[in-house]
Amino acid sequence: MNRDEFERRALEHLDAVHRMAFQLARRADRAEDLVQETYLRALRSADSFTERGGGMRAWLFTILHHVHFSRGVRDARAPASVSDPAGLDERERIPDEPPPAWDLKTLDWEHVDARLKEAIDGLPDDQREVLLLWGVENLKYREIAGIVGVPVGTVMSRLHRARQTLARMLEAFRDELGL
Amino acid sequence: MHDNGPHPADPNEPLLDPRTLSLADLARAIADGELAAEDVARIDPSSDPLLAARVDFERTLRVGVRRVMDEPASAPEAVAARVRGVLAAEAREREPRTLPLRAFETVSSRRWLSRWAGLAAAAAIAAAGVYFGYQSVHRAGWLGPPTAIELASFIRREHAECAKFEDHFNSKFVERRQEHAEEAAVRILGALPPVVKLPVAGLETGGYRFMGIGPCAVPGRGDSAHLLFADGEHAGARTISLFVQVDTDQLALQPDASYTCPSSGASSSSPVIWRQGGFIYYLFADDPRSLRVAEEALRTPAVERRMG
Repeated sequence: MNRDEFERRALEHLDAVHRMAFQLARRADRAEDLVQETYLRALRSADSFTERGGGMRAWLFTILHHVHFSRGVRDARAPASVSDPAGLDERERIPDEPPPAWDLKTLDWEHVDARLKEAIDGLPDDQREVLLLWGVENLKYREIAGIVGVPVGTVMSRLHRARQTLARMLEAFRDELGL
Repeated sequence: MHDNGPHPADPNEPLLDPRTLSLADLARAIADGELAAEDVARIDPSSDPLLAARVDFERTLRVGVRRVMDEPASAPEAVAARVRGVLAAEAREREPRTLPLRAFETVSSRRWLSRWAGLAAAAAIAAAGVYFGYQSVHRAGWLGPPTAIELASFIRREHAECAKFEDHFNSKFVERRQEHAEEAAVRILGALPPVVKLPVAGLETGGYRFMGIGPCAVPGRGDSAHLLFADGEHAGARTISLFVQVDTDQLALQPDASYTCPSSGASSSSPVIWRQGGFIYYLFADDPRSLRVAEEALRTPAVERRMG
């Protein structure tokens, strides 16, 4: 694959990379910096690219993840919040609590979207990133594990916690409305 | 060389083993399509109302997450220009070279897919995404059955991405042999939809070939599959998508009618939706000719209605 072909294929995923960068950085200017750095590193690391796994998009997300979190460590103004700073497998430490079984479709309110977004924005960064890769980018657990650089079990644990948080928020909202 | 961490895992690795999962993980894995179809069939979530409700809760939650966080739909032109500028500057500083192609798993006959659909299609999808995102956010709540706008947006986006991006195609369409398409449909959907038998012969007459079938995540309840057809393997080839979803009675569709969805100014094509024999079908093509050929081949109901 020559450079032109590589760039063309990488730029096909610009919208997805920008969307993810925006969600991680939460600011347009930082997102632009992240996107630029991601593509620059991608070009410089092009020799390491293979079609294995999730292909070009997942590979770009992997670079984005490293750029973002390495900046978070460097930048004392915006430290990344994580739920497993020790890097332990969270599956060992969380209760086996099944998802709620009440019907979400009983909720039909105008303000649920805003409440849900607020709850997602309040998640620790590591849970939030996994949730976005799963929910928005529609990636599989193993693809997310490859991007974030953790075992599949840790991806499941982070998703588990994030979804529990959202479920509790929705349940509280349902209670507020007296349903 | 930069250290960018482990490479994304191989999608062909085995799926999760349900015997190793807790009840919580099992419900979520079923909802997320992380189990093999054979395992899901053996567990049969529909036979356990509590498990079925939990799976449904998780699926609905995922749709909600996507709905509120799927923004911005496209990168601003200024960002694209900035990235191109940086890449061009980097290229000028480096010697021209050819990148090695390692473990390139793509099927050569599918190469046209990565070349298909140019900037016009990308722009149309992006514009449609903005429009539909705005519309869906301003509807009353997200937790009911999927709206026509949500369905149309999802169908268009999945069709475009699978036709345009080679890696999407390769990772999604797990079965590309026509003779095994029906078997794959049964694995994904739990039963063989009658219409799946029809398109191959009917579409071949119209010049379209079967390209692949794979699991999908059409919004709402019910497992779903995506079948793709194309009229060639060249740049600009026309493509047809057929999505099939197990009918859980979530859409108020009359069985004798074909429905179209609202369209935006950016895209005149609308998915054609109908229900039949326990399944809901979503048919989509970018160009009117392909859609007509597919409607004839699939014998869509003649009565046309519009989804609200």
